[in-house]
Amino acid sequence: MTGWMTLWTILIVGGGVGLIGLLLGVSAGAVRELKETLNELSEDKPDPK
Amino acid sequence: MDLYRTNFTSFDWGIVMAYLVISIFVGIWANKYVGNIAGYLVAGRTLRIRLALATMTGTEIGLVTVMYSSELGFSQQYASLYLALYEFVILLFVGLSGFIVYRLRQTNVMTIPEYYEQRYSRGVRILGGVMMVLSGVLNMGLFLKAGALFLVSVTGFTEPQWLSDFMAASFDYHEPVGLKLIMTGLLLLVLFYTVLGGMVSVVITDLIQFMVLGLGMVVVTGFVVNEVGLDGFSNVVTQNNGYFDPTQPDNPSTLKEADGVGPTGMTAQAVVLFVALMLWPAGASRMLAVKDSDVAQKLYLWSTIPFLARRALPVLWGIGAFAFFALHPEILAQFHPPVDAAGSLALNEQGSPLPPEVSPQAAMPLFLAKVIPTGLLGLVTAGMVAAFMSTHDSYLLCWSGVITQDIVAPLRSSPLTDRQRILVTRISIVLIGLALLFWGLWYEVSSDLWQYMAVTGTVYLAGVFPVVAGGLYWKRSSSIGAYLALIGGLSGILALGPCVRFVNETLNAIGLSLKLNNSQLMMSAFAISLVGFVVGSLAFPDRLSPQTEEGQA
Repeated sequence: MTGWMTLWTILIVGGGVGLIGLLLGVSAGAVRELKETLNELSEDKPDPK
Repeated sequence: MDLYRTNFTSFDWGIVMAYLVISIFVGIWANKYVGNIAGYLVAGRTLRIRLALATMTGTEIGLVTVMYSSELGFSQQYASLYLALYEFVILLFVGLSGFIVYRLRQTNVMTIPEYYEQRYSRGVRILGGVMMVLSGVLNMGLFLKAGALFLVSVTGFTEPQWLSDFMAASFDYHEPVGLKLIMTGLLLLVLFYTVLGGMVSVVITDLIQFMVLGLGMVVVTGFVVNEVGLDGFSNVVTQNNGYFDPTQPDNPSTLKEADGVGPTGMTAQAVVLFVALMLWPAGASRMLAVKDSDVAQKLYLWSTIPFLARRALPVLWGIGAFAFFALHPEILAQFHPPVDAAGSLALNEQGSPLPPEVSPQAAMPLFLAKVIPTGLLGLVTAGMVAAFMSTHDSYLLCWSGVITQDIVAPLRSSPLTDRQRILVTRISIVLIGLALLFWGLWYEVSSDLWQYMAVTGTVYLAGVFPVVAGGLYWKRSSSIGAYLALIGGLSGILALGPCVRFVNETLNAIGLSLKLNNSQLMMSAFAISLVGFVVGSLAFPDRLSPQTEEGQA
């Protein structure tokens, strides 16, 4: 039982800490990238295909 | 304790409504960025890693994901975390190796069926598109139902008397209808901004939803841990017969025999998840929208984190609900099939256990409604509504894009203009939305949520894996092999509950004493498609076109 419960605890803690890290690490950069994407789309580039 | 007591007030409704209004404005605003079909379907392939990761997280953490994960956490406790482990390991493998996704992004296709035509033939593309839409819309069938169940449980919604009277007098309709109307309104809202802004509005709203939802998940987890306590989580196993070892086929927390996971169930889920994580169309469409193959591979590597969170945290909430209601055995019993006077499962006329009084899917929202305070409960519900909408918009855009690009356009003799393609996509979004509304919301489906999704997904996944992997890595792959693989996927339908009974009755009728379960039938569908693909490709190789022969000479 100890082995299984250790594994499940690692997964749960990993999920929680990972999500907090993701929110802190990605949010600001994602907003900046969204602005760049919208600027590129505004330039009405031809379809890359 | 009152099972239906909730901290949700009109203040919380206000927070949810404010969020919905913002989504409408985003849809209108994003419309100005849509110029051509690539802009509409894949945002002009301009997504970089952070934005792609945030929006993929927004898509993949759906309300339905939260609901089925927490349902599993409630009914199978810790053992259900094996799915989180699978997803983590599979994504790590794909992210490190680039298996399939790197080469697929290099082909520059906008949809997976488009790749079918590039590699095989137009006919394979059309059949592949039909199979994808069939499986996808079937798969979405329970989304609205799960969303409705969450909202009604967390808000304590009761239908106004005037509405019941009106429905009875005008339509002779006597079932509860208020919540169905709310969900209809939510669906219409999603249709509105998806139809208008396409992938651009999906990306923007997914980014907002990623932040709202991510924060909401962290907050909920904090309250759940605080309420149950570490001792409470430990007691699930030590005092309440909690299920923690998925290799054991029996779940000790229930009376029913052999209702756990076991080696067969674990194997079937490993196969389904392995293919789904790479090639499920909604995720794949995000991968095809990124700038290049390196970003596509990186996206999968970084997705290990949100995918782990989307499984592990809702499972923890489900386990928390189990621990919470275990303190009130009379309430916990309402989530399990009823027992007779002798303490055995009560059976219906067909000899099957009766359904529980309250769906286990409702356990988590009923639990949250009691432990999250007013105000925060509104924010959390807005996060969950965000999850509902972000999955719906991506899925709607994905399936309608396939109808336009891979079914309607290839069937036409003259090419469609960009304007026509966007129009067909918008019409398809509305039609799929209506189909979902009438089937998923008004039609009663009784099935385990995750199992239902895995089975309906198999219809598409069983065929797509050999066709795409074979096309990318095996020179002898042929169109006939691809046709056989895609058609073979239909055998996945046999793994749905009523079909499993039919298969076993048929086997008994012809004198075979086999008793197959849905995991075995799901694996059979993958095996049938794979064998069909290999045999078809070897027996009926494609004739090389003159250009290809020239190139090889």
